[in-house]
Amino acid sequence: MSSKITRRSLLKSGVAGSLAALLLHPKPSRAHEIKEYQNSMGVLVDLTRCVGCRSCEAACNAEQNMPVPAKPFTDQSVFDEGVHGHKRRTDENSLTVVNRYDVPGLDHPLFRKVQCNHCQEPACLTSCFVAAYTKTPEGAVIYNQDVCVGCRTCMIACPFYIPTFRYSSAFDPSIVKCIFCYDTRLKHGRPPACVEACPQEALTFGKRKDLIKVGRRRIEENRGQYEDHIYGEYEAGGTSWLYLSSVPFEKVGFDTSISHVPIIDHVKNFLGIVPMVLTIWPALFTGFHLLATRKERRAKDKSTNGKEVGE
Amino acid sequence: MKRIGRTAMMLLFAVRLVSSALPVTAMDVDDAPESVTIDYLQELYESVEFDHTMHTDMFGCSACHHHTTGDPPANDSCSRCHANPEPADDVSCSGCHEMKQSGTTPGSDSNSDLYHIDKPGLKGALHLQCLGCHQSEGGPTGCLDCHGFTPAGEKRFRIKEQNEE
Repeated sequence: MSSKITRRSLLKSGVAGSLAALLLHPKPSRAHEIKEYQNSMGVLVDLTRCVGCRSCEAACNAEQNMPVPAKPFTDQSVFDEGVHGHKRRTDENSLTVVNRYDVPGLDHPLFRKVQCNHCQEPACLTSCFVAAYTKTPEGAVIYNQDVCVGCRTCMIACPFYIPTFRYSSAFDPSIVKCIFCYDTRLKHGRPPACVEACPQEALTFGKRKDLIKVGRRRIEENRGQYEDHIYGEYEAGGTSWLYLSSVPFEKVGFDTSISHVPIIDHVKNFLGIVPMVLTIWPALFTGFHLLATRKERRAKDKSTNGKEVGE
Repeated sequence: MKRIGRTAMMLLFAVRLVSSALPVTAMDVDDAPESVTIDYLQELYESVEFDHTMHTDMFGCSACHHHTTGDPPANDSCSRCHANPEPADDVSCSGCHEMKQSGTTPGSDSNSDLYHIDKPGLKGALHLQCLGCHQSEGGPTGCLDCHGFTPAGEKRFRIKEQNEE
C-alpha cells in the first residue's frame, strides 16, 4: 500500500509541481526579435567633442517651456553639485543634464549628457499597465499623462533611471522625461532642440542605422581615439541614442552591466506564468481543500464517533 | 575680324597650356584677408571678428583650411586623396560646410563626397576647429571669450531672470 495517495503526498506533489512550473522554465525562451522601425531616428553622442557648455540644457529648457533654473545655464558650478557622490540627474524641471567626469590619466575633463535613450524595446513601456507610453516609428518614446495613474513602475523599470515623477502635483500624476521633442520637432522630421543647439556637433541627428555606420567609421578613422564600442547599439536591446567615448564607458558613468537583451526578456518567463497562476491555482487549491476535507465532511454526515483517518 | 578671333582663341589656348604645365602653387598668405567677420550664428551670439593675420602668423594655412589653399593637408586622412592639392575656388569655411548640419547619409551622396560623409555643418566645423586648437594651443576656450550674448542669448541661458530673482 506504499503507493497509496494520501492527503499529504497529494499536497506535496501539488505544491512541488507548482513551484517547479514557477522556478524551472520548461521551454527555453526563443531568441528575441527586436521590432526595429527601419527608418527610426536617433542621435549619436560623441563624448570626445562635448565641452560642457550646457547649450543643450538651455535649448531643452526653452523648447519644453521649463521653469527658470536655480542657476543660469552659463554657470559651470553645477558640475560640482551632485548628492552623496552621485552626479546630477534628470528631474521634473530638467529633461536633460550634463555631467563632468574627471577621468584619472586624462589632462582634460569629459562631459556626458544624460536624457532618455529612447530604447528600441522600452522597459518603461512594457512595465506600464495603462499603456501610457508609446514607441513611435520615428524612434521617440513618448508618454501620455491623461491615462497615467502615477504608479511609477516605469521609474523602477528603466535601466537608465530616466523617468521622473512630478511630486509637486501628486494628485494629477505626471511622469516627466525627454520625449525627443516629438510634438514640436521629431514628428516634422526636425532634430531635437538640444542637437540643434550643440556648437560642437557632439550630437548628430540621423537615422539610427546610419548613425551606427558613422560611429563605426569614426572609430576606424581615428584609431586609438575611441573605445571600440558604440554604447546603445545593443545595450538593453538597443537604444535610439548612441554614444562614442574615448575612455571605457564605465569611467564616464555608463552602466556597462546592462545586458544586451531587452529588459522584457528578463521577466518574460515569469510574467508568462502569472495568468496561469491566477487561473489554475484557485481551482487547484479549492480542489485540494475539498479533497482534504471530504472525509471529515463524510464523517460528520455519518455522525460516527470521530475516528481519525488517513494519517 | 575672323582672324583676330582665331588668334585670340589660340593665344588663350597657349596660355592655358603653359599654366597647366607650370607646377601648382599654393595660395599666398599675403593675399588673405587681415580679418574675417564670422556672423553666421548671430541668433544667440554676437558676431566674431576673427583676426586672420594673427592666426596665419602662427599657423600654416592647412592647419585650418585642410587642402583647399593648395598646401599639403595636415590631416593624414585628407592626404589620401589630396596629397598634392590645387587651390580651390572657394576657401571660406562656408564654401564646404553648410549652415545645416549635414547629418548622416552615407552612400547617398555623389561619388566625390564619398569620403566626406561625416562632414560637420558650419557651426560644428567652426567650433571643432577653433576650440580644438584653442584647447591644445592654450587659446581662450570659454564661450563668452570669443562671442558675447545677444539679448536672445541671455534669455536662452536664463541669465536675466536669474538677476531679477
